[in-house]
Amino acid sequence: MFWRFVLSGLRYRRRRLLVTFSALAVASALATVLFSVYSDLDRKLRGEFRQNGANAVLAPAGDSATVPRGAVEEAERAGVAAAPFLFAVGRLGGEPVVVAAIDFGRAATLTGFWRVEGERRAAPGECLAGSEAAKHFGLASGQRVDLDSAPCILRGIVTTGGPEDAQILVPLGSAESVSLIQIRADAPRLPELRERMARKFPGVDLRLLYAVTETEANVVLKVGKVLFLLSVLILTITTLCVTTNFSALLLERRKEIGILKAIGAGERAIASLFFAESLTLALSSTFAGYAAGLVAAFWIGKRIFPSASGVLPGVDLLAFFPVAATTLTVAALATLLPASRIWRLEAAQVLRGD
Amino acid sequence: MFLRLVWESIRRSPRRKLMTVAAVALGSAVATAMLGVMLDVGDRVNHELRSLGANLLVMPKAASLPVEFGGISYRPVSTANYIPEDAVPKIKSIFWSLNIMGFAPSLRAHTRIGSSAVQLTAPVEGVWFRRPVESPGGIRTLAGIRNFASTWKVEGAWIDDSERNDRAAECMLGASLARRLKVASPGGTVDMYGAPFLITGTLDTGGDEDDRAFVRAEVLQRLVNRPGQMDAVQVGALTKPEDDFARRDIKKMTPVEYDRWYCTPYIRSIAHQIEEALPSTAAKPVWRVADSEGKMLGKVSGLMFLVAVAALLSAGLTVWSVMTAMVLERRPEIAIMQAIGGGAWLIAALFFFEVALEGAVGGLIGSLAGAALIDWVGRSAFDSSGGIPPLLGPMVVAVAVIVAIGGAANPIRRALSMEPARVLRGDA
Amino acid sequence: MPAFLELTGVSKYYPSAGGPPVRALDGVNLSAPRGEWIAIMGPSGSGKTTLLNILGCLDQATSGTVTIDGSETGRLNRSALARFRAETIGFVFQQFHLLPHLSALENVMLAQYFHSMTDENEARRTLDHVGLADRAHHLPSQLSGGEQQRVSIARALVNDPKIILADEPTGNLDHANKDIVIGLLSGLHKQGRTILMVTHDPQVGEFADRRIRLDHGRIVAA
Ligand SMILES: Nc1ncnc2c1ncn2[C@@H]1O[C@H](COP(=O)(O)OP(=O)(O)O)[C@@H](O)[C@H]1O
Ligand SMILES: [Mg+2]
Repeated sequence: MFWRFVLSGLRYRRRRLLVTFSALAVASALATVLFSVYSDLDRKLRGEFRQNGANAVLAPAGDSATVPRGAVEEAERAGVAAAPFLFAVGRLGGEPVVVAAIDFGRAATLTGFWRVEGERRAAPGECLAGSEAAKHFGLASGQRVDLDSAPCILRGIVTTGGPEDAQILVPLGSAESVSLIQIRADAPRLPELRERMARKFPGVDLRLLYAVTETEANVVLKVGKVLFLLSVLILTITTLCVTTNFSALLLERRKEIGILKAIGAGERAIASLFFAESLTLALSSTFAGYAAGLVAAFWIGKRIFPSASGVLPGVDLLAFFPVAATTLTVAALATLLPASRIWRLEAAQVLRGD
Repeated sequence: MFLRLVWESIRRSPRRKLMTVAAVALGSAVATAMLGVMLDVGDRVNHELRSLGANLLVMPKAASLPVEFGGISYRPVSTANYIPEDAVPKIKSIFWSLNIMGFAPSLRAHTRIGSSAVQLTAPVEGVWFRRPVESPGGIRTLAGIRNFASTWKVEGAWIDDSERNDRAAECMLGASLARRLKVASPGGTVDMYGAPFLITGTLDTGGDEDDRAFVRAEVLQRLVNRPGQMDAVQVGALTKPEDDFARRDIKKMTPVEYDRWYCTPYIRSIAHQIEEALPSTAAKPVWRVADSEGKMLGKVSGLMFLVAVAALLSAGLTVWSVMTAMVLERRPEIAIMQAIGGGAWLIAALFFFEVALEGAVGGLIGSLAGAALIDWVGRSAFDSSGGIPPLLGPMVVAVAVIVAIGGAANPIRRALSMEPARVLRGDA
Repeated sequence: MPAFLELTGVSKYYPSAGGPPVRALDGVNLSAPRGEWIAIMGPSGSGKTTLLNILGCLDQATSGTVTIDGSETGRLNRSALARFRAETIGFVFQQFHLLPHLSALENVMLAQYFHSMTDENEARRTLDHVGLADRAHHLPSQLSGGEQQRVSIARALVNDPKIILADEPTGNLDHANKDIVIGLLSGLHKQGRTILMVTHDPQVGEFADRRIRLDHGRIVAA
């Protein structure tokens, strides 16, 4: 009889309950999405920042003028992206020019900011030119560049607004030592990397590009904070909305409660009836909202954090437990709190109806 | 009678009205806060991103091709072209002058630097550290490399160059150069151009600056005999990330498009304006910085957009559910009115007026609360309160009214189209 | 030329889950001249309220035609129906159905408002007529059942309707109040208004000109 009462009550008032149901479902969907986005936010953001180019440089320390190339593999073993650069002065048409030898394969992730006309990388026998250099020497793609060291075919013109603009870029051969190594590492990895390099290559200095590391850390921190505050805000409001919804649901049924009292139901019995009704409603809408939230989180994850890895990037399956716990608590409290007010009402007064 | 009906309805059941108003107020507070924060956060993050360094580099147009790396120049620098030092403050008078967050001119040279232990050749820059300047438009500002130094690690003290003094024998050294010179810094001395310079401090940036020495601009101008000349200006500007429109060739734009492009703070349009202000210079975007900025801003806007959608959803939900519940609850009232001859339009007008009133009051309270929330979020996350767009308040009130009416519209329509007999019987 | 009030073959079916539809009214024919007072009697569930609701345009007949004072109500659109209710019909319900947040006076004025325009003095006179002048500013919750019913009669009267539809107007009332209400209805009858009144009470039924009996949705005796 208990469940019959509960279920028929729900079914009978389904129109009205649909409002509460969707309110709660949207609330749990929102909670799931925000939870998924916020959890691990700093790691996800840092993952995205990997596209931003180098955040550290391995440079010769003390009196040495070069960095051993082995440091590249060592850094990669430490799980960071590393690309060697070797600079030399070459001659072109009788004039000196800086020739940068680059491991294009490794440098690809660190040079995403290059504006390139033509190819982004050069194979042996080919080269790229910085835009200033190209202008100065009158070079165009496809043309032969008569570098004194090794002539090459020009494959592309690079604009960066930095020193590359004045250089000729050629593929790095088998040099044993290089001028510097650019590094992209997740910020928390850097101290460990510094220690590791100091141990293996005492002649090498790991320099952090503070402008990059600190700005990124700052952005992660502040965006995280804003997102946290706003999420709390949104969830508070949504909780309030759900609470008033559930309370209203109960207050509307004063008459029914009066009738139940009149036919001899104890307060405990009435409370458990309404309680069961609320929880059934809450549980079903939480499931619906959670499912919708996961889909939304998945879609958002793919759009905002495309570089995140994993089967379901951006989705936090565990979000269910806090979300469900919260919604159920809210529903229970929202039912019980106004209930206490109703106990105090005289059945006769309620039934008289006004 | 119309107003009396509305008024009695509000006066006699204040609790229910209060709930509706509170719901609308909550909803619009969140919406206000969200829109405010969303409009604001991008801006603030943009400010924070300025610590990435200069995103524009201004050079004389016909500068010779530099041949240098690792702090060593392999060809004497041509001094034929220069930027007049007097003209530099003009950067602050371009169309987007408010977006110029900092600029720093420098004069470049290479010289022998010696300490008691070591002698070596290194680049030396004559710079403004932090100098008060006034642009032709009358804007006063502090310019110099300290504009870009928020992330630099400085040991010792900055050179105070607020007053010109071309005899001051002070310098600052990059951390790596100081190590190679094996000098005690701060407090030690190095010899340059045949004279001892006191080291006031060292700076560590991780970049090229680490291998350089810095002196006041006027000192280096005197020493290399290039009075009033500068080789480059670094500029930090707040920009709008590049989009497809920004990448178009300005020579192929229609005049209207060109105006739009010119009046949008794209990095290239700011560069273009600087070139107009400083004739015979070339302003180049530093893509390493500009690109990172664009990408980070893109991420942040994406996130904020997401949260804004979530907030608007929850705000709409709050208002909608309360409105629906309100109308459902008052269905018998509607039926009675119909039974005694109330026309659908009149009854609907009564309810809509009431709802609009509640929406307006709620919206007003909400936008005030929302403004407080914006302030709170700004303070908590960025340590400073942000500006609130002035039109946001009225806009939110209007939106609250619309949403409230929108939320009530369907249930009212449904209630009106039901047979009054059924409602009065008490079913459905 | 149809009579003032004419029902021909009026049926009302309510669909019921699973079973055959409930025939609340099943081919009712009824005609009445202007000024007649008809008592509708019959067991509970026989369709009395349904009949009244259809006459008062609160509900639509499934089939058949209803003509009141020359207009066929089934052909009226929604806004015309509302006008019709405001001008021609006065309702008195067993459960009173007053608006809880309006005072007695305002409840009466509400009907004026929907009819044309409010006239507070006239509303007061109407309340006075039902003996409630001193209760004008009380809320329904502050009035007894009899008083509430009198307010609802005043509300039905105020627009001077041609027909009064009263659904068990005395059903919830004690003897004294019953007499007052009957007195009021008799007065209205004398003024020449047409009255259709549902009642279970044979004594109350005696006041009417004519009594019809419904059973299972059909008129079984006139
Ligand atoms: N909305 C409805 N849905 C289903 N059945 C209804 C509805 N309204 C009335 N009925 C049925 O129609 C019949 C007549 O009802 P009613 O006119 O209220 O009877 P009376 O007023 O004579 O007691 C009853 O059997 C009742 O169950
Ligand atoms: Mg009945």
